[in-house]
Amino acid sequence: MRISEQQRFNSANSKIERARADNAKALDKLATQKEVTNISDAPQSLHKIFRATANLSNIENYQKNIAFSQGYLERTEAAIANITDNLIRAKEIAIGLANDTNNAESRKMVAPEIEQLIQDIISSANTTYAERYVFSGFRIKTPALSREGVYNGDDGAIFLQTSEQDFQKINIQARELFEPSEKEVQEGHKGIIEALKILKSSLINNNKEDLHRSISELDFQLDKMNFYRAEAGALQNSLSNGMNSLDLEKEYNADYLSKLQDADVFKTSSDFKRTDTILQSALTACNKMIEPSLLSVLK
Amino acid sequence: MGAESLFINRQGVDTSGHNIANANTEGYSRQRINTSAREPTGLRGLEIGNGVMADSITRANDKYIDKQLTDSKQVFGESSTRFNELSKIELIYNTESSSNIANRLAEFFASLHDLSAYPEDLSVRTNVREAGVNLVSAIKGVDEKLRVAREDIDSQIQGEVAQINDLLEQIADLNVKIVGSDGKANDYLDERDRLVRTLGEKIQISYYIKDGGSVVVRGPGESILVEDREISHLDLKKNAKGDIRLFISASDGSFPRDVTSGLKRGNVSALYYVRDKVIEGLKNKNDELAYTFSHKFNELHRQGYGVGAFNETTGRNFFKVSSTMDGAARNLDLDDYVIWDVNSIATAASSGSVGDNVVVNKLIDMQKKKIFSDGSSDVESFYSDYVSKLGSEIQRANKKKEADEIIVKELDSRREAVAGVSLDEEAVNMMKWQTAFAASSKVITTADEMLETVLSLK
Repeated sequence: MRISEQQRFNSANSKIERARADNAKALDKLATQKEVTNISDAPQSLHKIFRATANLSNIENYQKNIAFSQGYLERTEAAIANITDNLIRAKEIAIGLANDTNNAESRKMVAPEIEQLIQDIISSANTTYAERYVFSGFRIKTPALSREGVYNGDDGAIFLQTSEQDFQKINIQARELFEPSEKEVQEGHKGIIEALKILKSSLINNNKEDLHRSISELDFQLDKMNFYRAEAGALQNSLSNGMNSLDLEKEYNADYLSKLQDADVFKTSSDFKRTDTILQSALTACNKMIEPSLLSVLK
Repeated sequence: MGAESLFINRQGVDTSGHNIANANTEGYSRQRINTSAREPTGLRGLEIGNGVMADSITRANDKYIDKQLTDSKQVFGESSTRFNELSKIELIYNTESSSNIANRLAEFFASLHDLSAYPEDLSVRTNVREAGVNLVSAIKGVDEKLRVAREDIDSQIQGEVAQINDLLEQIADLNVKIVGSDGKANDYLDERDRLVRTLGEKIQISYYIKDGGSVVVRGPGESILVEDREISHLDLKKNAKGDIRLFISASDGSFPRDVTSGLKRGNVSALYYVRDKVIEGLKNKNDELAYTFSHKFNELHRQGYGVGAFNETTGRNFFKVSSTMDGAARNLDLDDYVIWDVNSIATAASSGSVGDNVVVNKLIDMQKKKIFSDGSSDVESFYSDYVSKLGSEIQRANKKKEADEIIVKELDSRREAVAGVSLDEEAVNMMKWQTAFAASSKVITTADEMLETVLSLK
């Protein structure tokens, strides 16, 4: 077959162009360490890349929510524990002073300590986390208990999304923690502060009947505390489990995303070296191909 | 005889020189001089030769390969232009950019997660507004870039049409010159072939050569673009929608015909395809994303209460969006209340409860709600789906372009094998003609010496 000059130059040009294009592509991958930089590089994987990237972003959000919720519940649990300790102390005092060995004077002397316990409980009830009252439901800027022991929060349940499927409750709906329900009122129970005030009053007035009734009421309040503490604990456990799952899921998604779009470091380096060598060879070969001509031999 | 021989050999050298001079001329076909012996003369019972004569100078040319090459260039013209234009559009959907729609959606929902934890916090609310602004900007940005791409294609179409009209004039001129030379003007034939191939890259054509050497070129819809010296005129006119349509009419502008829908090959066909199918399709998807997402978002947002001065009222939108899907992306914005006061962003289901995040949780849940494609896709799937399809189309266009390019190069190589100039071959030819020229001059000097001898006889 005849080979014309145009053919020779076109062929040389075409080979050099091809080698340069491959080299440029390899350089791009080496510089970015990415297999997929354009949507046409791997369109079949693009949907998965978008999904994995979105998942990673969502997992970060869920983890932030869980971290916030854990802090919220830790403060809640600590406050309930403090209230419980105060109630136990109040019960100790009540049991100690119910004994007939004590007289009116000794009982009256202990009344200020009960008052202190009441104030401590109110303070715990008005615990804050991130400048919000943890026992106030949605009324996060309103203290849950007034100085008189009246509950000023609402029944709002705060939920945060902690996984793709779940919105988890992060607060205790505390109205019935501090105030008796209708049924409890019918059974003769009181709110926590009212119960302590009755105890205090019984000590001041040396009312042994009220003193004895206070002990069983305090037992009832302690049971309630334990119930809500268990609820807070259960929420905490659920969040911890959720966080562990998210850690695993994050690792899986990051690994999956990397497999889809990241370049293999060693492969990209060797590909670049290979294409560079091919380019140099193409330039040398084309130089030799173009040169020989009868005209250069003829003198 | 000697002089005739000198002339012929000199012509041979000139022909080789012409070939060498045009070795790099695009579309040039090497020429050769065809010689034959003159009619002999009978004298004293002998048939005496009368030397050589030049029959013709012809070009080495394979019409079949030329036709195949023209056809393949039409196909390649379409596929390479389609790929080039799609590559420009690919940049709009760059996955690495932080300002693409997917990333802005992720940021927007992340800001809503923060708002869910801190519905009362002013800085968090401000962040939601900013994330909303960025999302709107990303959606509008895509619309704007598609609009610019479309305008760019319209300019290219105008340029191509002007070039096509120019080519038609040149071909008609060459038809006249070729017919005038009885179809023997090789350089004109080469030039016309080159122009016809160039024309074929731009618009689909078919052609044949008439008996006198004139070419008849047909265009889209079997319209006659060139016949002898008569040409048609290509024109662009806007339809009611404002789209540019391609018309072919007689040279005086009469009988215009809209041939846009019939375009199948060539650059212009690819430009129309990318403009009317790809860009239009992407614009519609972008509008659908803007319209559906913002309307659904607003539906939920209107149920909620804000904080501060807005904690007693509902019924406000988050997005400002048009009532029709067409143009929704271009007209998308944040609601005026949201821009003026971030406390208007709805978070609560009940009034007066600062920590109530029921509504914002519903807004977050929208991320996974299947509100697109008749309830089969959520917003992120909808976006990634149509972007993936675009990626697939670009990949296919690239593969087709590469395949078509191989065919064009192969046919070009075959054409060159027949018609191309080889300097080595021409060097040998020159040596051949030069030697013959030297020998011919020897004939003249020998005849001259013989005459001298006769004249010197006493």
